[in-house]
Amino acid sequence: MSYQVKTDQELVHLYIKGKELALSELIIRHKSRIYTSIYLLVKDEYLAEDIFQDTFIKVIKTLKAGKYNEEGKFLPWVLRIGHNLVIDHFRREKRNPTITNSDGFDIFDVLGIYDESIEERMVKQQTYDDLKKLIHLLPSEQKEVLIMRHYGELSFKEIADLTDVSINTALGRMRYALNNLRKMMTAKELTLKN
Amino acid sequence: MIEISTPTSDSVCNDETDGDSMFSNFSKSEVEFYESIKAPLNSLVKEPSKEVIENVLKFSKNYT
Repeated sequence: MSYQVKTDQELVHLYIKGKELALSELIIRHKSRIYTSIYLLVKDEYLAEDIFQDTFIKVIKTLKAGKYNEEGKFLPWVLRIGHNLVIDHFRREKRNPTITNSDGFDIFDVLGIYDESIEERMVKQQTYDDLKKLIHLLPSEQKEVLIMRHYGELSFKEIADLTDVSINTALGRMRYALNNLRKMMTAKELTLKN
Repeated sequence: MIEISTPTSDSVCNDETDGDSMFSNFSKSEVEFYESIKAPLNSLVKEPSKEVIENVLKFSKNYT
């Protein structure tokens, strides 16, 4: 049976038994969510790649040592490791993640809008770029919940466990993130056209 | 000056058990707003480089 149809849990078991391809499938399956979650917190591609790599090194060591907790889901577990490494990084650097400059993020790399006119594309690019900046203006705990919910597709229970808060706190943070984003967009007269 | 609010209370909903259905406890306008920003949020998705993936897989093969 192809690895692509196996569950995360099955792939973890296969990997522990020595099937290296199982890890490859897990990475392919979750790399975007994990990397984007890290990247949006640290706002630096190279740093995000370092932390992504360190995250999986920890994953590999834990799995091969037989210390993986079967009760948890694979993705929330990996996101927790990545999240903790981001926190460790900022503790070391002693700087606030919300005030660093953005890197050379190129929106055209990810937008599938090449059939649009140059003007439409520029307006859309500006709007999406503005939204990205607004996300970074959110208080860090609100930004974290938004990122984990949207990119990690975690439940609020999983987010609560990951960030050591109650479910209601995680929910409240998501609500405040949405309301603050909406306030900022209104203040900037930012309109989204999908 | 844009005022950014922070939660002063935890009481958003009373459902402490079902982590995935809680979005139904948000107001209609909050849900609609979230739906409206999903596309731009999705556009921000990024991928790690192939080199990083190769490094991880190489580490795994060599780690015993």
